[in-house]
Amino acid sequence: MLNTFVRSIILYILVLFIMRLMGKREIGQFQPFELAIAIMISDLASNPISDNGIPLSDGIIPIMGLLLLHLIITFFNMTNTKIRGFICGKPSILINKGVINEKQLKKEKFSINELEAKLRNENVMSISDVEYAILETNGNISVILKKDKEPVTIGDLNLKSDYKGLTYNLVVDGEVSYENLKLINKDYEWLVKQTQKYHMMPEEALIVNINEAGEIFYQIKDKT
Amino acid sequence: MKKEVIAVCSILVIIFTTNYICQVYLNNVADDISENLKELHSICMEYLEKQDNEEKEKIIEEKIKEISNKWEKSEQILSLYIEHSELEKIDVNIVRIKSFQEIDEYDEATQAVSECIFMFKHIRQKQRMSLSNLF
Repeated sequence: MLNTFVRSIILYILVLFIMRLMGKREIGQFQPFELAIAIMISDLASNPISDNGIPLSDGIIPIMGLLLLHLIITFFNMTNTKIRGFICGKPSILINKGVINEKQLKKEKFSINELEAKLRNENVMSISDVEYAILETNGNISVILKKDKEPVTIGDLNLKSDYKGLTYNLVVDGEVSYENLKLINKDYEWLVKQTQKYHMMPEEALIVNINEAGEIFYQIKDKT
Repeated sequence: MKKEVIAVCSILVIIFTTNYICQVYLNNVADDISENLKELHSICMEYLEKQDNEEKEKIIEEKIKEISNKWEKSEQILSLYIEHSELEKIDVNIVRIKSFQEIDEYDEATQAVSECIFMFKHIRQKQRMSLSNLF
């Protein structure tokens, strides 16, 4: 029993390490080759966990082999457009200048209903609002709306807005981020002065962040 | 990109080196124990033909102990990379050899020795890189 427990921990750590090496994309944004590898890795890891008769190396070695393959494919994917087209495929235009491309829909095995569902996921409630709909290689749909259907922006209204920039977390769950303090050229003493305005110490905060306009957001930890 | 290239090369080196070491170890163990088993087989055959003396029985008993001890030591390392079911078959055969020897069933023991020799040959073939193993 203990063997199975320890084996599962070892393999979990290994799989976690491998998935970390594979990059930061969400599962929904995996390319086909990444999805294939992710599925195979999980299957390979599960066999030695459930069967003590299978040596751990029978799980570890094939997983390392898949990682190797992934690194090689990723290298070629990044450096060669032809290979990228072959491995990942090319995006398909399903709606071109407001007209649904039936041939492409059939080729991609997409029904009109599925197209409408995908558009609704992108907050587009009517096909008539769409200028271009592009089926990406990871299965997501990118939408460009018709000019008169696009949401209004501040630029359209000729309004001015203050530049907010990036928000930096200075304290998360009571832990001070010295790295971010350094990025904004501040130090711990400055942070203490800021938090004392709100009657707390940095370590008592759930979150403290600051944007490039100097606006601070804070929330104190729940003491209960 | 440099990191990826280094990672790829490192993984390749590790896998090929480890495979080589494991293969060499398996071959050495298989050769050594198979040799002992073949000697045991011929001694048993001689004993069966001539229905010999107690001296031959003692030689057989010591040979079996020697093989059993060698196997026990090697098995711990082999179990790290060879399927346990395969190793268990050899374990069972060695136990059978011992048991048959204890009850003076030397013809059964000889059969078990032959099976053991085959098992070592089989494991070695199974671990080798070959077309038949790939498919």
